Amino acid sequence: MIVEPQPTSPDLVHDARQAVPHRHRTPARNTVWVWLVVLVAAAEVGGMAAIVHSYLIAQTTVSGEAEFIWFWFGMICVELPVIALLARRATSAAARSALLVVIGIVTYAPKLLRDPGAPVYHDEFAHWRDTYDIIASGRLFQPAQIISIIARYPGLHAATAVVVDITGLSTWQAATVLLLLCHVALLLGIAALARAIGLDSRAAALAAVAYGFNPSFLYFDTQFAYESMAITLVVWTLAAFAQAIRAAGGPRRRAWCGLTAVLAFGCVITHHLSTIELAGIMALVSAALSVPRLARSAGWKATAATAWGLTAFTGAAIVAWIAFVAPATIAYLSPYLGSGLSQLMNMAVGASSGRQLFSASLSPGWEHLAAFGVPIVALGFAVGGFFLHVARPTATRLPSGRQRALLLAYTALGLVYFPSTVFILSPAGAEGARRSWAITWIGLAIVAGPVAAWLLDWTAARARRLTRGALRPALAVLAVMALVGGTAAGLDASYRFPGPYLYGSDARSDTTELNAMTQWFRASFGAGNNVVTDRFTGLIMGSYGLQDLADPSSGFPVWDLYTGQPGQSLGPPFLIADLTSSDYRYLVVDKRMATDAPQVGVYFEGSEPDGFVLPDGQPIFKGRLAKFDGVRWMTKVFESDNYAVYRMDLPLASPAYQVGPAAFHGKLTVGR
Amino acid sequence: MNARSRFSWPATWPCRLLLLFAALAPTALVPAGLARAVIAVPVLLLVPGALTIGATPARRSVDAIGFGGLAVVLSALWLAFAALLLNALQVRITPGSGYVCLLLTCALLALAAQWRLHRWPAEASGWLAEPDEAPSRGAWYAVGAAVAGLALLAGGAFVYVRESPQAPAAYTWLAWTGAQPDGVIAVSPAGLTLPFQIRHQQAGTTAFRLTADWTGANGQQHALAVPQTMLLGGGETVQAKLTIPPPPGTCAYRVVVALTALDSAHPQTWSVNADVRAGQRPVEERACAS
Repeated sequence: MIVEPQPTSPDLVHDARQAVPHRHRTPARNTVWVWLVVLVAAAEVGGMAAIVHSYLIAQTTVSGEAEFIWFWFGMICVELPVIALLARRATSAAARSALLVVIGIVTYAPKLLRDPGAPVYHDEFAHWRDTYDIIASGRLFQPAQIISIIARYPGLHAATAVVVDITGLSTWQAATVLLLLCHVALLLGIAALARAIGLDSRAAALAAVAYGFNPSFLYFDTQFAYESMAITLVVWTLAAFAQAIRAAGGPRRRAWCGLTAVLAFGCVITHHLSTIELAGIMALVSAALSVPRLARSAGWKATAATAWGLTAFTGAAIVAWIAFVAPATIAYLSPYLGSGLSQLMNMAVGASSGRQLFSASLSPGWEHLAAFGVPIVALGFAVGGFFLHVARPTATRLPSGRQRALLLAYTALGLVYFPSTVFILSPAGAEGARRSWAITWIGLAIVAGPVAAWLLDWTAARARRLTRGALRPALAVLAVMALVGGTAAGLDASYRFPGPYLYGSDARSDTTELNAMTQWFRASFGAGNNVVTDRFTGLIMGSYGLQDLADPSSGFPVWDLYTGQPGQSLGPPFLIADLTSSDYRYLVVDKRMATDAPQVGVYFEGSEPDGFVLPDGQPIFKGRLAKFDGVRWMTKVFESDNYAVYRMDLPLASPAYQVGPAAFHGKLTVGR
Repeated sequence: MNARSRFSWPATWPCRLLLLFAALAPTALVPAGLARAVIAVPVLLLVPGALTIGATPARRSVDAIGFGGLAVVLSALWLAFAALLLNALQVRITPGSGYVCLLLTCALLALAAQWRLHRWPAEASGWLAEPDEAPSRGAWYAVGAAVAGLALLAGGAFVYVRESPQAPAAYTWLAWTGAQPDGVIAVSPAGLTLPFQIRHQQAGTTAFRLTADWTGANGQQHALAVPQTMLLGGGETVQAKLTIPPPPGTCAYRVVVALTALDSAHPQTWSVNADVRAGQRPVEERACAS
């Protein structure tokens, strides 16, 4: 962890080593340690086996409870013993950090096992393709398929491409290595940030553990996507920022300022939203440092100036990047916030009913209950943190000045989590709310760490063994509930577990048939053809297939091709003109569009019109897909059980067809 | 400072790390993949970041594991920065250019770090963060934890991959093969051959009927060739072709090849189509309609 020996406040940090006198290791104590290590190792191996077993069950089950039970049993086995060891007062700071490394590595297992050999999540296909294009072309900023904005934020792809180039690993292997390291570094970064703010090593380690319960930690922020690298950069930037604030000035402060700037710029080139959020947190901290009543201590003005300077640098860097490199960012981000707010307003005035939480979820009810319990537990810890820091400052020995300002700023950040949960009720705001939790939980974790440490000490101080024996399991139950509920509040089970094909699921749409069609297409027509297709077929065609996909929108409504009635000409005319001018050559149809409603709720993209699934549950495409066989400017070149590929002969020509019978005979020959 | 301490690890670690990074070059001779990665990844994802921290006075306030975590993050960033720099200089990002760019970066950082050590020798005293910890203990704990964790992770992944059942491949397809010109295909006086492929990726053997028809302006189907019946085994791929003479007149004809499974109660059909006409363009054909 980063540790800053502060001449201004060395005695104000509540550290385990101050509370526990140095004790020499005796043979008996060594034996206890050996047994502890053996027990923890056995729990780790058993837990990993249970997780593997849960995934093997899930592979053949559409929706069952067994995989969830085995999974959580495994996760509890791999996490709780390590957390318990880490929370002991007698554990040294170095051992705690090492235990955090263990937690970081084993908590990568769920995602690694989910897709050990290839991308599975929607965004992973997009990032895989962008990395492929960088490696193939040797250039950054290649036009990106599936998610166009990612091309303008090449941090993750560029780093992965260089790892591929130098190590000879495949793109997926290189990405896995990079993301595993980022995942472990994220936990270490939280602990480093907590130490930099002034928490002792135990509270800091517990803060890192608490952060690991956030909904994005196990799956979303381990996927091969730019935010996974960015969140690690955000946390380490904040750690360096805190060090710059706490440094007494001179070369050390300049050094941390330099590192903050380097890390912040790394964040700028990696992910838009994370950098904006980073700048926001830095502004919050700077504001707290600028309140004389809060931050008053020697040199507070210079400290506030340093903080504002670094905040201004980060803000200016992201604004400049958006202005000169990625101007499409505004158009990409604004609909999420705008729609989320307007939907919330509509819900408030009763104009719409909002989302029903877990309505399409495949996970069991007890996971949902745990998810609803997480904000309550988090609120308890936030209130507890406030009580500790403000009402009972002696408990954390919170000093006045910079540390207090930092801590209060992070508490404020953590409190943003609670109003953000309201957005989960809005269809457009839910995604943004979920994504914000990885950030707001930084603040919650900083608050929760000391509270957890205090609670453990408080229970240990209970004289009655019975009380002590009841309170510690209660704390363990709270930790398990936070782990289960936090994860359940993140991604749906179809993302978390492998399983049979599920129509309209981003993470379970990849089949051998789709892959075979994609390989046939690429072998027949080469790479880089302009293709119109649905979201789920497009994931594979736009990634492994190396095809260039249409980006459906209200200005380019390719769904109108699919919704058109048989016997009517396809249109609208401006769409056909756009398809012609942009040289779209192929249309790929998944025939299941006519029979199934997509699990994620859309066939193409979020901007598609409502009503593709009719009130009776039937898709609007029913009876409307076979029409392509009769469209004169389309030629069907491939058909499998579920897919049909049409070549579009644009611009529209009007060949004159034979009318009436004719003596036209050929011959079929079948070879082997 | 005696000669031994002058060349000790604390006094020369930036230069040694630079040498380690330079030694990556011969790993290009190691076959690409796991073997090369085991050697290259730790160097690639630790050295540039470690040198960055070493080049600043921040190093003294970082303990072993914090040093490692920050070094990994900064190293990953340097990989991205190197690619960005090469792109700005309009140099293709290749294994060679990427490596040279990183090596130059490491050289500059090592120079700065070494200069710091020379200028302020007290900084050579290591990353003591916790006064009650031996300087190397944290590092060894971290290495042990990383090795144990990675072994567990790799073991879990190995067992999972080995035990996972193969995803069943169950599909049949019909597709044109060979060159596929746009629009209506002109049939020369010698006729035209349209090759296609049938792939039956199902368990067991299935009976199919293969037919060829043509349709005109009114969409009515007319038999084009004598249907064929065949048995296809699981995983079998068949090459077939439709041979046609020049169609009568100068109108376009849509030919349709269809494959129908005969074994099921609800026979599934796969088809492909193409438009053809006799070689010369229609002039004014009363028998044709758009």
